[in-house]
Amino acid sequence: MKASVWFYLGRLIAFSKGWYALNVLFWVGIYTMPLLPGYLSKLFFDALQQENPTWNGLPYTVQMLVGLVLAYGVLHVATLFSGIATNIPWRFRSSGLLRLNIMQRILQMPGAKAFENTVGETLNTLRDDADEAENAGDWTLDIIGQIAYMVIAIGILLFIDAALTLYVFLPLVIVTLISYRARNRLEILQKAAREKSSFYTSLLGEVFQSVQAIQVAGAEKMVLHQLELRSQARQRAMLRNVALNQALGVFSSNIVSLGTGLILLLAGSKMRSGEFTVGEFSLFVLYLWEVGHHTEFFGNFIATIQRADVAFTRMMGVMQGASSQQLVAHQLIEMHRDPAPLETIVKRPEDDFKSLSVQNLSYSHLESGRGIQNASFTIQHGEFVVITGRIGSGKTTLLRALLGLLPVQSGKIFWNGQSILEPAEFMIPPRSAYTPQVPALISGTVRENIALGTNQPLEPAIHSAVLETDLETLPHALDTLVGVRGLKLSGGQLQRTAAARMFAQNSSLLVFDDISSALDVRTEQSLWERVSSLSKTCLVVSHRRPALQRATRIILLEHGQITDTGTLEELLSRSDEMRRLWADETA
Amino acid sequence: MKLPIAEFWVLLRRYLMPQGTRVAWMSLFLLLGIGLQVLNPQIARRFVDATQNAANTSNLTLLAVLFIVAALVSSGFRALAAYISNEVAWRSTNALRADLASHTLNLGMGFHKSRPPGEMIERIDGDVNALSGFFSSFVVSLGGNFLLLLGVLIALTLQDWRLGLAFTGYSVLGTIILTLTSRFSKAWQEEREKAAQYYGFLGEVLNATEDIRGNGATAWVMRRMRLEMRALYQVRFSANLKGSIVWGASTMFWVTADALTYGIGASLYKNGTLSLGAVYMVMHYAWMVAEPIDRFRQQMQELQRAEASIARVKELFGFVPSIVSGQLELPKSPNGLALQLEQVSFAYEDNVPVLENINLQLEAGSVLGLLGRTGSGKTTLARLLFRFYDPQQGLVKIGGHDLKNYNLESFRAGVALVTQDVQLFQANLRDNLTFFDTTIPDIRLLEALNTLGLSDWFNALANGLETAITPDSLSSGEAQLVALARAFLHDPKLIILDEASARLDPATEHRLETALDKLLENRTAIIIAHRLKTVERATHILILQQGKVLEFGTRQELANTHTSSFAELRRLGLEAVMV
Repeated sequence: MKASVWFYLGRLIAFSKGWYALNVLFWVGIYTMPLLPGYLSKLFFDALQQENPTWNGLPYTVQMLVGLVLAYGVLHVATLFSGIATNIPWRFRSSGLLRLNIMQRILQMPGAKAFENTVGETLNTLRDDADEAENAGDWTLDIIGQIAYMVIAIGILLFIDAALTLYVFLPLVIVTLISYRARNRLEILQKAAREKSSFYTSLLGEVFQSVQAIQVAGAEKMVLHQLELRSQARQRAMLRNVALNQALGVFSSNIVSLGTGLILLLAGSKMRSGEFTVGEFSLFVLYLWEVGHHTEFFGNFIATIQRADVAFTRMMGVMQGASSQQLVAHQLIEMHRDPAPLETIVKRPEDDFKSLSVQNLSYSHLESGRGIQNASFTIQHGEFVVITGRIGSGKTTLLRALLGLLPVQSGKIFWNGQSILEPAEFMIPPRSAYTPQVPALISGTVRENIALGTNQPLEPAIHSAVLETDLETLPHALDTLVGVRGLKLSGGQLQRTAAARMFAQNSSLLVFDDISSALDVRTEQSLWERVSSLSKTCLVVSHRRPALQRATRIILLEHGQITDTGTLEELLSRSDEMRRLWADETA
Repeated sequence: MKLPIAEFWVLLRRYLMPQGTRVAWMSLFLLLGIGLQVLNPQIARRFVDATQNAANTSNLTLLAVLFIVAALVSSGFRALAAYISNEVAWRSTNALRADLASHTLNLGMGFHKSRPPGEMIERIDGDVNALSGFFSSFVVSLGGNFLLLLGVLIALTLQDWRLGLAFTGYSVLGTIILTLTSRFSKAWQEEREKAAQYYGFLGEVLNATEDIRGNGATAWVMRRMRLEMRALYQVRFSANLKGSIVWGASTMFWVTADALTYGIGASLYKNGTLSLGAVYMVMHYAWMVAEPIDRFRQQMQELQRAEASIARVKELFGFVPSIVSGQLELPKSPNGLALQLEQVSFAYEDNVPVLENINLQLEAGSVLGLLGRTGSGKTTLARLLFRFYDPQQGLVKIGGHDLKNYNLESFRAGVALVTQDVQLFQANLRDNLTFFDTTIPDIRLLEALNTLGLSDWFNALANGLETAITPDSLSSGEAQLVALARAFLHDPKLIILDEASARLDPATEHRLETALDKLLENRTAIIIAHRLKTVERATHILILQQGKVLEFGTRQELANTHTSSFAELRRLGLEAVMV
């Protein structure tokens, strides 16, 4: 069942109890303090009409009122600064917690299927939806302040003239109810607007991911036209939203005017008879005015909560089946201190590789129905096993399923004879490490990207990856910034950096997905030579000769099934498919 | 108050101009709404005076009804104005977004390689959103409130010149104080930059989930995220605190309005200049003077953000495409185009030459096999041929003319480049092949797929051209085939295949051989390949070594010269020797 927005907000408040309490204190102060000048205005008009004005028996003058008003101002500003200074930590902790939990979940999911939508849409959720939640959490403070203000204001008014207060505030109750009724409609419009918006931004993201391809295809105009269509769709959805919001706004602000008019109508005769003073009239109008703004505020609050509801639903979508508890699970957020240092990975004896067995491993892609079926094989310590086959034969899928980067649909994996229940949690350093076909780096130095937090010397890994000469050409060697904000590495450098990253993890089993695709043959040769001197076990997807020739065993995949296994000579002698694959490598 | 009005105007003038009629309606509604707003306290004054004087026979009920009607109509007008201003804001900023997208899309790779898509979304959509907010808040809140302020000051002056003078002085002083306190907007620019960096980082992580999981780097990435978050928090904290100074100043301002009313109101009442109703009206007006300023305060943070956004949008427009289009149309030669490189040198960064003094001559219809080690400059050479970059020295000529003389659109339409990185859209197969070009008939797509030997693959797809493409549904090799089909559709005169076959396994590549033969027919081609098989179809061979020409000649000639590196390659196999 879908958890309510209040559950999430409650957990966020519980996460920052202390900060939230301070915020309540200051914001109730900030909201209720303006009651004072309203009351002072009553005293002011009383003073004009009386010779020797008194308040509860105490004599006062207009000069004293001026002083009081100014003193109030200073106090209000001081409260305001305290409010802001405590507000930012509270807000930031809320959205920060959501972002951390979402990112943790994404990084818990199978790596090749970590989220369902595009990067752009997922990033949208991490950015905007978390902000939306932060906002809604913050609005609870405002609403507490507003309610405190209202209770006090209406209390004072009731004390002055109970009947008039009730007549005047009746319309306010009605408007609150009506804006509540408009809630559903608003929710639909807002959801549509959000969808259109994300439809637009996800294409925008893809366009900038594909700039080169678009320029190559000369497709700038077509792509821009497509963007334009989506941008107009968003505009229409947004404007429908604005129209309803404005209509609701007119409604609530008019209720205030109506209320003021009611005061005029009802209090007129009392004022003529002197039962109701101009000071009281001023107080009524002022408080009604403020309270009226506050009903508008209730409408906005409802809208904010609705948006947050949509945002939480979308965040849960990215959480892919995690419980609602997990989205708001409490964890330490460092605002000033350094985050805890990484734990060093200890290699236990059972982590040393002896054998890996795969039994009847199957995975089929939902979209295409293709994948791998019933793959079974065993790798022994020290082997160099190559998985080969045509495009789409399932090589990458096999590796990903084995490493838990895709959810296992059926089949078993055994490490040193022990069944692995959670391959994704298990097939990582210090047991195995992996270089994907198209590696990705994260903005930072080459050193950071290779080390991934390990403290071990990186030189051996760099040497094994044949990266040492490239490093010499980089402006700051290992400290060169790479990634989107730094230097762009060439395809080969990227793959070898990824290989170095894998070697640096000190794992027993090394898994390469088509590392040679951007390497020339000599570099590839020396890479394999250096790898073999490491006395590690290698599982390699490749169709290139340097790898095939080095293989202790080759696993041949056809249409998702292992059709043959053996040494190169064996396969060449008995498999047509292997001969075909091999043939085109000859001059 | 230093508001970025002038900059905003310069930036959005082009987009606001076509909406003159809407702006006119909006202004009319706004003026009417404000006019009634200024009128209302006058009604209240008459009402109060009528209650205080038994001799006053004014109809209290009529005054009350008038008050209500004026208020109702006023808020209706203001809501209409607000709606229209939103519409204007959306229309104009959407046009700005489109121009920004178009401008940046035409910038060279030098610009894009250092900016992740997440950052571009933030800069085109996020920053422009801030401008949209600026527009609605500026026109309706600030513009409207300025008019309201003006109306109130006039009404006060008409009541008594001393009131007019006092409140005008008060407004001027308040504006000056708020100007002085608004110097803290720089902090917001820093905050936005930090935010863009933070979300850029998150985007990179989303792109690298496979790398992170496969190498057990989750803890490392999460720690990085915490560090990035903390950095953003600290910048945001100080930006907010500085921003709240404006808020504080505005509160004091509001309070002073009350103090002023009490002081002046009491003395003018005592000497009989003002009636009690008039004092009430003055107080009502005093709130209306302070209200625009208070609104002002509420908009300040948004405006400060807008200033930062305007600066960033302007910066984006300021990037000039490093590649300037020429005038010449690319000739539609039936035999492909001749290619010439004259003493070409190129470096991405100063003092790190990637290509040095490359000379090359290739007749129309030739096929050049380009060989070289990783880092020898092959890819860079391909980029120069496609004019992603211009060489720092020397000339690249196609069809006898320097590339720089060609109209870029016509040039790129006639040249195809297929690289290893195939970029796919989350859209159907048709849109991925045509890049959303609806003028290409399906039959041509089917032909292209057929020629490429993709018919079997295509027929197996569930929904034909409508099949949705996701990162999962194509293997990298298949994506490569889609890229080749894209090139096919263009009927190019010059084809550059940059390691296009590197990720195809030989069996699949075999299917492409005939198609390639067909594609290369009557076209000039440059093929960067790792296999001798691919080079076999070349008429010429160029071997690059550390950015210099090691060997260039016809394939035949080089193959027959025993001392050539190419001959050595052929004898020992590409892999054994390696280039």
